[in-house]
Amino acid sequence: MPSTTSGNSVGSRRREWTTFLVLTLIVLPALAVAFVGGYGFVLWMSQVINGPPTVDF
Amino acid sequence: MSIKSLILSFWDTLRTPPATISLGVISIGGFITGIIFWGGFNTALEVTNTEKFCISCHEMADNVYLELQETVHWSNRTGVRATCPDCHVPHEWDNKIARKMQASKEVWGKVFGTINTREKFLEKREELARHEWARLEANNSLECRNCHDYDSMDWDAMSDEAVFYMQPAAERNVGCIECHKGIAHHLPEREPGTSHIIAQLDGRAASSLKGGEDYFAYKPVKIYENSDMSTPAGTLNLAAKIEVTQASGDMVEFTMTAWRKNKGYGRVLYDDFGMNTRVAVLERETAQDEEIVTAGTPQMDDNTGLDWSEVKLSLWAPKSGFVADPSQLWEVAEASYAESCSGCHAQPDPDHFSTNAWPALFSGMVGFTNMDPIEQELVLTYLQNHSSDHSDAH
Ligand code: HEC
Ligand code: HEC
Ligand code: HEC
Ligand code: HEC
Repeated sequence: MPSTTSGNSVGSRRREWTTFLVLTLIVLPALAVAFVGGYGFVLWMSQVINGPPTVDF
Repeated sequence: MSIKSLILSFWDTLRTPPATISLGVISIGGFITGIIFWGGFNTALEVTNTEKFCISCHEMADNVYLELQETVHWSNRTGVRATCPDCHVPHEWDNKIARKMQASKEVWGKVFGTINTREKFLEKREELARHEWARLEANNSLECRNCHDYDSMDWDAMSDEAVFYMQPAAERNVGCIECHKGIAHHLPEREPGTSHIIAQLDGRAASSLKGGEDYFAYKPVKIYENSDMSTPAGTLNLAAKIEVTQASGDMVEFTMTAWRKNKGYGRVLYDDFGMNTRVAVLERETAQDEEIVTAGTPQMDDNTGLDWSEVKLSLWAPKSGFVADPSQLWEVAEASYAESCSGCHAQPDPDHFSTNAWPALFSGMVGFTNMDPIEQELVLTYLQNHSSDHSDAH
């Protein structure tokens, strides 16, 4: 454990909770949405170039 | 603390095993937020996939939504309602996400008021409809077929007309949209002046008309007895051939040679002896005025027993509305014919039928296409000018 975090357990408790919450509630959801949106955007652009998707029955 | 050191300390905490939170709390916390996120994500997708959401913009509520309410997909004896997303949003996950991203463009349009009035909407409608047609043509009307299926159709329960046209289509697996355009909303309205065919031809118009040269009308052109446009003389049809004698300001004087049937007032002029290819329709007074229209000796058409006379006339027309080369017209007509008439059967060769047979054949079919009136006239004229009569002659 890096020396800066040892000793001050109240400070590290705060820091760890904030980090945990920021990561799970903000960063990861934002990344997930960005990935899905980016994927959708790439598909959209490919449809602009190649024309709308075709389906064979 | 600067942003950089904030991120650094965030990163440090991330890479260090936690000292105060237990592994259990982290796992369970991550698991639960994951579930909540996934639920929220899908709920958001679903909410944006409801009709309520679609019509929360007045652009949709005041236009297409009202029109939908007059149709069979709003109320019918089976009580099944087709909602906007049923027809407009793909069901496969990938394509759905792509469509949602595409909606960002619609949000943009909303913010900047691209279609915030009925007039603006009607102006844009043709373009919007063409996008939907292209999409449904490409996917073989997949969204319609999520509810409808040729294999489940009871032909005996259908009208004769439906069976006549749809059974061959079912065998060839033709998509519904080929024939059922405008099923849920009004079709785009087109004024003659806004025809997309005219727009294409405008770019090919002859810029200046010279005396002694031949020109061909590419849209209906109003003609006059004199250069000040005070006495209307009639209208030239598409592809009517004129020979310009002199230009004066925005007008030209021209002569024209055509044929008429010696019956009634002789207002309708045709291309050639015995050929029902219209080139002009004259006002009654003009048609009767022997100073303007000089007729040759009558000849009898054995097929109909009618007398026809060759006529020469000299009139005025505005300069705009002519091309120098008729192949400009035929190129556009050929493309339109191939696009509109190949949905149900291969489009017949123009020279498969005679000039006089085409009008009846064409008018029996044109109702199944989305051609506007100008386009219809252009394609019919094209077919008549490339019929068996013409291919034999040349
Ligand atoms: C949500 C399911 C659903 C979807 C999607 C759907 N339809 Fe329908 N459609 C129906 C129902 C239900 C009826 C009415 C059946 C009845 O007569 O009771 C109907 C009726 C029709 C009719 C008969 C019209 C009449 O006047 O009798 C046509 C044509 C039609 N649909 C074409 C289409 C086309 C084209 C599409 C795709 C753009 C489409 N439908 C999409 C459910 C659907
Ligand atoms: C070749 C052109 C064509 C195609 C393709 C086509 N239809 Fe039709 N359909 C017609 C015509 C013509 C009628 C009869 C006139 C009318 O009702 O509009 C008709 C009528 C119908 C009717 C009403 C039948 C009745 O008499 O009650 C339904 C429902 C219908 N079509 C659904 C579909 C569906 C769904 C598809 C795609 C799977 C489809 N059609 C594809 C031409 C076509
Ligand atoms: C039965 C299927 C069906 C339903 C339900 C439906 N649409 Fe459409 N929509 C179409 C088709 C097909 C077109 C392509 C143009 C045409 O053929 O009229 C279209 C075209 C459009 C257009 C382009 C402009 C135009 O009029 O052509 C808009 C916007 C639109 N729809 C919005 C909606 C909204 C909003 C709803 C719900 C209130 C809705 N649609 C419900 C089938 C449907
Ligand atoms: C809705 C589908 C549909 C469309 C679109 C369509 N047709 Fe047809 N067409 C038919 C059917 C069905 C027949 C009848 C076939 C038969 O009688 O054997 C037919 C027959 C014909 C015939 C007669 C063939 C013969 O040998 O007697 C001609 C000519 C023709 N179509 C021309 C056209 C033209 C021109 C267009 C474009 C304006 C067009 N069709 C668009 C469905 C269609």
